Amino acid sequence: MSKDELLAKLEHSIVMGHLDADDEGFDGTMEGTPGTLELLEEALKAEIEPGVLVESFRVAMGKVGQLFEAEEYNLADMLASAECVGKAMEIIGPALQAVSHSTKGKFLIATVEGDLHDIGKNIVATMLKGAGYQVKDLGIDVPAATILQEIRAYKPDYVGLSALLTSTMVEMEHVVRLIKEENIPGLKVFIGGAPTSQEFADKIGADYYCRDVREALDKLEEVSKVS
Amino acid sequence: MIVIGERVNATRKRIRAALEQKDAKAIQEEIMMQDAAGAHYIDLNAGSGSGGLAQEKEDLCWLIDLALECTSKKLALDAASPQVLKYAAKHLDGRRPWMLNSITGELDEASLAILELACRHRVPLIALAMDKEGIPPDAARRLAICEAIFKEAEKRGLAADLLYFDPLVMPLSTDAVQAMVTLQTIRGIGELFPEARTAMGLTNISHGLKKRFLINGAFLTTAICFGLSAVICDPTSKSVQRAIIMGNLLAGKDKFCRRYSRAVRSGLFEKGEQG
Ligand code: B12
Repeated sequence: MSKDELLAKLEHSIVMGHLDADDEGFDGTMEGTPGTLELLEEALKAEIEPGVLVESFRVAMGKVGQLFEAEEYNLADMLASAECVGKAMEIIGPALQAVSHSTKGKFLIATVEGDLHDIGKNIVATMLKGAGYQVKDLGIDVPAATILQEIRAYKPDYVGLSALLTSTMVEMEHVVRLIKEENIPGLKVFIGGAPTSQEFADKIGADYYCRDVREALDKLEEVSKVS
Repeated sequence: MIVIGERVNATRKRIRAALEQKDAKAIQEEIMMQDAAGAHYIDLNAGSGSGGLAQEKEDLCWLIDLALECTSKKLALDAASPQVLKYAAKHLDGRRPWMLNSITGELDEASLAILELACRHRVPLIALAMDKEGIPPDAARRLAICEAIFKEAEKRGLAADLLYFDPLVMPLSTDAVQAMVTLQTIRGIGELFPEARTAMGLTNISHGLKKRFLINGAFLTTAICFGLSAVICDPTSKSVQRAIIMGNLLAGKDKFCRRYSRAVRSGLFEKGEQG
């Protein structure tokens, strides 16, 4: 199997919520065929880069979102796909951190209050650790007060906020305002999550918007060069 | 949830006529429609009550041959007489996985002989929670009978997971608490003998009432939630199919609710009300 074929299969297995060979998948026909975990193992053996894998996760989950919007998928189907990516990240994460040196600065990350989506945030956290940042992950549904407390205690160089719902983008705006009111010199605020945009970042006063984890890594390199 | 398809039973007119006229096509139709509807076992019963044992032996073997020809599903050999079952088992000769239906808690000579047969071949066996006094009206006594059967089976070396206790189903029309008696028996069996299974016939619950499919469906769904492991029923019935989907869903046996969602997509819940 070529690398492209392998990636296409991996993406498909995530869209179908087909975790492993024991799982029947969305259509109930996939038991006994390699699932996300088996294909990931093959991909790692074939030395496909984590960054490439993670991008295919993002594309797959985007498709899942479309299927959900089209009402072909329901909440449980979406969760099945989320589980595939979650388990896959548990495998990719430790491999990445083994080679990291954690000297590039401290990154505090959280999904804002009211929002339970963490796949994107976890990918960013994992990849940043792999790239040498010291990452503290506050998890999901994190109240503004907790984020501010942690900023004071942990003294990060960067704060990353994730929001996936139109409703929690409002909360993100609120958190960014509170952070800015703290007036901490040098602290840069990053935001991300599918519904956010550069325009939104400008509007709420966040320093950087990142479409995906690649952009996050590039922009961080940029910032560190400037400072 | 294991489904044992009950349609090939000589107590039904259509089957009795087919046996008398050696109408292979009629029998195989009945088998194949149950196969297509998702039955795990095809029950074969040739006991019309009139022909005598020699006739029943011959008929049951004929049913076996027809089933072997037209389905790959497992078979449930269904007869009251150990001679008939022994003869049929010998004829089948392991060409297909099979089970025995059934013994009672009377543990008389016939029941013990059938139990022996199950032990020898290590096949699943349905055991009814009744004894020589008949079917107890309450769960406690049905469970006591199950215990006696369990001990006997254990003594003779039948693995507990091959025992399918039938909690028995009596009509609601003559005793309003009978659904709960069956459900409590199912739960009790699960608690007392966690490795053993349960298998019940379904439709007796609604005997004598109108819109029976509604009662059968609700009862089956609830029984699955109480831990029922197998049902003896007509697998081609829409209400049975719906009830199994709903039962597995509510009992937490439908990961990511996928079987439910697939049933919705396939239109199972759209097609009118008929059973
Ligand atoms: C998986 C999923 C779920 C899962 C989440 C499981 C989990 N552990 O995360 C479950 C099933 C729980 C879920 C629930 C809900 N969901 Co949802 N979900 C999704 C889905 C399909 C995928 C999200 C995802 O994981 N994407 C993949 C990752 C890799 O992408 P990402 O998150 O965008 O992250 C990347 C970038 O954005 C960026 N990034 C993200 N965060 C950050 C942070 C920083 C600092 C940086 C730098 C970068 C960055 O980098 C990441 C990696 O490249 C999206 C559809 C979509 N198109 O996004 C809907 C979606 C977000 N959900 C939606 C909805 C409506 C809901 C529910 C309200 C549904 C309901 N009726 O209950 C609930 C809300 C629960 C809650 N309170 O949060 C809607 C939102 C609509 C809206 N405009 O508000 C979407 C868009 C689906 C849709 N098209 O309708 N969901």
